[in-house]
Amino acid sequence: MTERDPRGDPASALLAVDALSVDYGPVRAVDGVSFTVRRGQTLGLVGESGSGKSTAVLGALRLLPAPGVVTGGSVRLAGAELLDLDAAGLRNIWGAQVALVPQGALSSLNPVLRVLDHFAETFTAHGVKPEGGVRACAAALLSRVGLDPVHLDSYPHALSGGMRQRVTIALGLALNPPLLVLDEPTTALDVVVERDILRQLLAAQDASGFAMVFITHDVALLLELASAIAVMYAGRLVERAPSEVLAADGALHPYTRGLLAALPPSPGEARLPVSIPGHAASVADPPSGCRFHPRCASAIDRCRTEAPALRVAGPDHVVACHVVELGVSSPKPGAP
Amino acid sequence: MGPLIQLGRRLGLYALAAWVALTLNFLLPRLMPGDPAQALYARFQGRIEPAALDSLRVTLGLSDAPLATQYVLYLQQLAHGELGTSLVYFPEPVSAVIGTGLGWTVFLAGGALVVSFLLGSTIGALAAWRRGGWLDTVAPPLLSFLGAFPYFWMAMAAAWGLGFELGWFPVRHAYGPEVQAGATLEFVASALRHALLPGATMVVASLGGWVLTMRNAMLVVLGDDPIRYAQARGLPPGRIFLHYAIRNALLPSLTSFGMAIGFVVSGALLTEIVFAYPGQGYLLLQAVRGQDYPLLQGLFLTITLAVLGANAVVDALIIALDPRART
Repeated sequence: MTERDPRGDPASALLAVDALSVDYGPVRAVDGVSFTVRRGQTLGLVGESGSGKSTAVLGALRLLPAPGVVTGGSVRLAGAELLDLDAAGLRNIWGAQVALVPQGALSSLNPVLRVLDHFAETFTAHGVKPEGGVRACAAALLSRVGLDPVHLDSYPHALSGGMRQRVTIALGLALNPPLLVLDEPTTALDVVVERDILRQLLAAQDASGFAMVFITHDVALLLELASAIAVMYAGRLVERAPSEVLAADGALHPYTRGLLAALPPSPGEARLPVSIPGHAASVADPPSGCRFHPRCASAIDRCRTEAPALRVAGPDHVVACHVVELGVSSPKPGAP
Repeated sequence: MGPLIQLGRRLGLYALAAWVALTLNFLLPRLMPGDPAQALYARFQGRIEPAALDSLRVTLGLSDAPLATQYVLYLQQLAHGELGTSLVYFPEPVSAVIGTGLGWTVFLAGGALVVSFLLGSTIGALAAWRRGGWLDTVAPPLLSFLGAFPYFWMAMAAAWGLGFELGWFPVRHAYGPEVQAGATLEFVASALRHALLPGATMVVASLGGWVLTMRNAMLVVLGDDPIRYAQARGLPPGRIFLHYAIRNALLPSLTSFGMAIGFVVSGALLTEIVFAYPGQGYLLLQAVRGQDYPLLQGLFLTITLAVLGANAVVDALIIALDPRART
């Protein structure tokens, strides 16, 4: 099934993903997911492992390795349809219009090339001759992400995990793309390094004004970092809201509320973390109706049979749940 | 630690291994019961005078001097390239006999190995790059099929069919009787013409192995993160193929190549027998048949040193190609 975003306005968005579906053979890993990213905005995409968050974004950018196949939907980057582009067209986009900071950043650099070579080949691939030379430009990029430019002559194996992550972020910024996609960029790092890298990243965003899609399973991180948060469960989008709304206890979907309740309380907060019962549903054998219903305390009969459509709950806020009572003031164009 | 120190340390290890091999080569025949002179004497069953045994011992460099003295003498002779006198090719010195055989073997087997490695790795790399394409569908099974024939059978079939029946290639010897050995164009052309058929059979027999090694290494590398990250940065396919896929997939193949180079020197025994080619393998066979101890010792020494030398060269090559090997 597909769910159309009732408030989607693809024309004004930098990245507009509409009703995207991705299959792995017979398994539908991503089922009709829609989201938009405006220029300079940070969208956080959150969900458990296997919820399809990385698959949705990589599929949208045509970067998904086989056997993953995009089977439906539309992806417009600055107005251009990515799903129609040929290999040469995609190569022009990748790195220049949208840069990826890969999930396996620790193993993503070429072991036989120096850090400088990675910058040089990226510039060359896009026919860019940086002012002042490749070395000076790469050194400036490394400095921006808090890495000493002496490492330009290092090989990847000589760098620590945090350093390699900084290199991939600097490479992402190299061509000054309007959109940076970060696939769990800090998951493998310790908290101190993670904080420092995120600080540098936000500083770079302030300076350059690029938009970000930040994929993670860490909701707490997104509440600080993202302007909007999209929550995925078992291949579907269940809720999308401005992060202030979620931070102010405005989450509507039981799964989103469960994720937030599972966070450790901030100092002085009088509550204990509560985890969601059960295990994440598998996209290979998804539950009928609403995929979250087996774990949902508020589930009603309708949840077992009918998949809920996304409904508008407020400004920039949509939710896919039968049980949630929406405010009278909200229009319900998607409601049955 | 710099690459040069790293390289120096490895070369030191190889020097040590070479010294151990030289010493064993010295000790083994002297620890065995009997000696070559007695073996030769026994072979002639009383047809030579007992007094001749002593002169034979002197000729073969055997003495009753203390082992240490013999060892020093052995090292001195070795330093001058003296390996004794061959019995089978008496009175040729062993160094001269091996020198000729080594030249032909390196030319034939070494050439075939290089051609096979380059051709096989290229086919394997292209097959993996276009996985499921026509090259990938045809080449690995066909070459494995050809490589599965018993080598001597294939070599004889080639010699009979292409050499004898069709008469396209000479079927024996390293060069024709009509040319004089020397640095002339005719000689080089004749040597090449004579090496073509035996070389081709060696390439056909070994090509499948190189294709599969390279193809499998490529498939692993192609599924790795650096390739996908290179695509995500918009790098062109040519650069990804050369600098990401080949550079990384070649490293394991290179190690096998190094070991194969070392064993080239031991001769392509079957090839040299089928095509009556005067290489190392042919010499080894003659030496064993004729109980030619000095020649055998010399051959073992050459083989050991060649294996060590080839490994040292490949080590240096890997240090040059793989930055991870430098630390």
